[in-house]
Amino acid sequence: MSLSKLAFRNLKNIRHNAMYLGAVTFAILIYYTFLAIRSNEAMLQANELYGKLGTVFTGASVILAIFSAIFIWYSSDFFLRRRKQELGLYALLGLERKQIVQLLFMETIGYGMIGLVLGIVLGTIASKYFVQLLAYVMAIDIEATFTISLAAIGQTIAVFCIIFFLIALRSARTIYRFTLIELFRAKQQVEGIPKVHPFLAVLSVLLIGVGYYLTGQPLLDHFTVVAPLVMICVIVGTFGTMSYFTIFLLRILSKRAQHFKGTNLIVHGQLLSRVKSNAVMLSTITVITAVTLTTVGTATSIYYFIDRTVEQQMPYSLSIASKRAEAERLIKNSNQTIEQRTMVNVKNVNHRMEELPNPLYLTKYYQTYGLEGEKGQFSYINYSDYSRLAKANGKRVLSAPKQDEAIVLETFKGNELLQERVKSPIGIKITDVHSTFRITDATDLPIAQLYEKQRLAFVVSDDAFAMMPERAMLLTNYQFADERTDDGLMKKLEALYGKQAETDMAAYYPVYAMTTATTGLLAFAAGFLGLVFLLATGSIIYFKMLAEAEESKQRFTIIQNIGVAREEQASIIRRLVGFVFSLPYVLGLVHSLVAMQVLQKLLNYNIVMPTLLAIGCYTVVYLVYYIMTVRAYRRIVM
Amino acid sequence: MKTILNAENITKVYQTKMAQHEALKPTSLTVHEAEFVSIMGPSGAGKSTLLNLLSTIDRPSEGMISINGENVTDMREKQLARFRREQLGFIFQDFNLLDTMTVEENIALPLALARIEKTMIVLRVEQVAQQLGIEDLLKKRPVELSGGQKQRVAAARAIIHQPSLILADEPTGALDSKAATRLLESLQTLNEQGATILMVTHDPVTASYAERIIFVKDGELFREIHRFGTQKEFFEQIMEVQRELGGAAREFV
Repeated sequence: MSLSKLAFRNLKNIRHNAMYLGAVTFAILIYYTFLAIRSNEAMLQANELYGKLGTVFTGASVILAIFSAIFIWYSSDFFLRRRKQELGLYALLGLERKQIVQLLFMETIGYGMIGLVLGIVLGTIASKYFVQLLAYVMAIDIEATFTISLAAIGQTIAVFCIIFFLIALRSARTIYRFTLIELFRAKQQVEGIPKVHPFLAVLSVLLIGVGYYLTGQPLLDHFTVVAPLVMICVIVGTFGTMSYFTIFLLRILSKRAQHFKGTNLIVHGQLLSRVKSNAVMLSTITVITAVTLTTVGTATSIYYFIDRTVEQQMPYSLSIASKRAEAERLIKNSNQTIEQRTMVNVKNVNHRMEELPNPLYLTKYYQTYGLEGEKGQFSYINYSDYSRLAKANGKRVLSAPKQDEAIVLETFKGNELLQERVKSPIGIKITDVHSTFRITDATDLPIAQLYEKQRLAFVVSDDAFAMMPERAMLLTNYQFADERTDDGLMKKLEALYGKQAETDMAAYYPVYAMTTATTGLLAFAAGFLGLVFLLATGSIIYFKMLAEAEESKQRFTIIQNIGVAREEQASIIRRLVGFVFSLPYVLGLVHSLVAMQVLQKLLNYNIVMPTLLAIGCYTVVYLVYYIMTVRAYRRIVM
Repeated sequence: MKTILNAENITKVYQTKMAQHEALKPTSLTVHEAEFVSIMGPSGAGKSTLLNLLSTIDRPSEGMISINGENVTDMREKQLARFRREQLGFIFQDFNLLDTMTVEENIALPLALARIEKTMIVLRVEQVAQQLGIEDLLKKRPVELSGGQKQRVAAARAIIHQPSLILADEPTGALDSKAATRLLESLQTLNEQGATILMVTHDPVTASYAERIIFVKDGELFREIHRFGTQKEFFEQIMEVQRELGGAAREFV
C-alpha cells in the first residue's frame, strides 16, 4: 500500500479525528466569516462609513489569524500526542521517518482541504446572519444575501496554508526528534516536582497588587508612563502567579492535614505535576480573558449608552441661528413634523477672567475660557426666555434672579479620573466687561446645541439682560416627532446653509447616525473577537486537558483497581478540570473588573449593567466548556 | 481455620457478536486465613482471568465469590470499590504506583481514602516502610526508584490498611532475581505475621515461596500441591507438575 493510500485511509477514519477536523473547520469558518463580513457589498454600498472603518477589521483579522494559528497548534499537538503510539507502530513496521513525516504532511493537507471547503461553505452561511446582525447594531437598513467573496476566499486559503505548513513542520520536528522507543513511551513522561520559590510567588502577587493600586491613582497626568507600567505589572504578575504562586499554593495545601483526606492526595499530586507545563497556557489565557472581558465590556457599555451620549450632545432635533423661514419651509416639505419650537435670545459678552473658579472651568464650552490671546465669553439669556424654555423642556422653573444675580445653566460633574471635587457654583461671582453677577442657583438646561454660538450660559433678570449693549442672537430649537429617521431633510438643510452649516445649524440625526454606526461596528467587532477568543481559549483548555487525560489513563486504572469508586473518580476529574478552568477565569475576571472600574471613571456612567451582561455571557460559555471537558475527560479515562 | 476467600463454581465467558470464548470453566477454590497461595499456569491458561475475578476487578459470568464472609458477586460498583480499598491489597507486575505522588503519599493512599487522621496515617506509613526496608525512600518519587524498590513500595501500599487478602499479580515479573528474592522474602515475612496472600505467577521459583500452589490449564484447575518439606523440594515438585502439565512442550520459558 502506498503512503498516499495509507494517508487517505487515515483521513477516512473521520470519527476518530472528528475533533481535530472540527477545530480546523472552526478556525477557518471564523476567519473567513470575518473577512466576508468586511467585504460585504451590501454593507459597503449602504454606508460610506463602513469602507472607511476597514482598519478596525484589518486589525481584527490579523489578531484572528494569529489566534487561529495558536488554536490549531494546540489542537494538533493533542492529536499528535494521541497518535504517537500509532506512529511508533508504523516505524516498527518499517516505515522510514521521512515517510512518516510525509504521511503526516499529507494528512495535515488533507484535513486542511476538507476544513477549508467546510469552513468556507459554513462561513458563507454564517456571514449572511452576521452581516444582518451588524447592520442591526449599526442601525443600517439592508437585506443581507448569501454572497461569495473571492478575495476573502483567497486570503483565507493563503493564511491557512501558512498555518498548516507550520503545523506540518512541527510534526516533522517531533518525529525526527524522538526515537522509536520514545514514541511508544510517549505517554509515560512525568515531570519532576516543581521547585517552590516563595519569594517569587509573593512578588508576583504583589506586582499585580501594585498594578491595581496604580489604576486608582490620578492617571491622566502621567498617562504615557503609568498605563504601560500598569500593563507590565499586571502581565508579568500574572505569568509569575501562574508559574510560582500556584506551585506555592499547592505545596502549602499538601502540607496541611487536609492533604491526606480522601482523594485530595491524587488531585494535588496530579495538579502539582502539571502546573509547570500549564503555567504559560494559563497565564496567556488569563491575559486574553482579561483583555476580552474588558474590550467587550467597554464596547457594550459604550453601545449601551449611545442614546444618552447623543442626547447629551444634541438635546434638540435641530438648532439654528439664522434663516428660520427657509428652514421651516424645508421641514414642512419633508416627512418630519415639528413637535415643539423654542426660541431664545442670547447675548455673548466678553469677560477678562483668565481662570474661571471651580467648578465653572469644568464647562464643556471651551470658548468660555480666556485662552491665550482669545477673548473669554459668557452667554446670557433673560428670565422670560428661560422660563419658556424650562417649561418646554419639562423642567422646574426657578424663581427670578434679582438685578445682580444669575442662574447658571449647567450642572457640574467632577472628574474622578483627575480626582477633582466639585464645589457648589452657588455664591460664586462672575464678572464680565460690564458688570458682576452672583450665582444663586444652577440648573441643567441646554439653550441650544450650537457650539459655535454658545458659551457657558447664565440667566439674568430681564432688565439686566436689556441693559447689555451686545446684539442678541435669536437661536431656535426644534424637537421633531421622529428625530432618528431622515428622508433627506438634513442634506437639504446643509445645502441651504452652505458654508454657514457649521456655525448656524446643528442637528441630532447626523450625530446619531454616525455614533450608532461607529460604536455599533466597534461593539460588533469587539463582540465577534470576544466570542472567538472565548471559544478559542475554551478549546485550548479543552484540548490541553484531553491531552492530559490521555496521559493519565493508566493512573485512573490504578486508582480504579485500588478501590476508588467511579463517583470519586468523577469528582477527581471535576476538581482537576475545575482548577485549570477557574484559575484563568477568576484572575482574568478580577483584572477586567479593575480595568472596567477605571473605564467607569472615564465615561462617568454607571456601567454595571452592560458589564454584567458581558461577564454573564462569558461565564455561561465558559461553564459549557467546563462541562464538555469534564465529560470528554471521563470518556477517556473511565 | 477462618476462610478468607471462597469461590464456588465461578466461570467467565467472553461473548462477542460472532463467538463465545470460555476463559474460565466452572472453578471452585478456597483460601484460609494466613495462607500463602500461588496460582500457576502457562500464558493464556486463565490465571489473570481468575485473579481479576477474585480481586473483584471483573465479574464472573456465573458462580459466587465471598471474601472475608461477604458475598462480592452481588455488590454494586460503589460497594465494590469500597470493599476493594478496605479488604484487599494489590501488588501488580508493573507496580502501579502513581508517578505524580511521592512514595509516602502512594503508601498512604488507602488510608487517606478511608479518611483516617493525618497523624495516624504518617505513623502507619513509617511502620510499614520500616517493615519493608524503604523508610529512606519516603520523600522520593517513583521515577527515582529501582524496580525492586518500587515493588516494595507497592507491597507497603498493599498492606498498610491491613487488608484481609493481598493479591499479587506476577509481582516479580519486572524484577531482577536479587530484587525478586528480597520482595518474596518480604512477602513471606508478612505472611508469617498473619497476612493472607494470593499470588499469580508463571515463574516456578517465585511460586515456590508459597505454601500451596494451584495449577491452572486451559481455563480449569489442573492440580493443587502443598509444601511439606524444604523450599528446594517444593521447587522440584513444581517442576514435575509443570512437565506433566504441558506435555512439557509448551512451557520452555
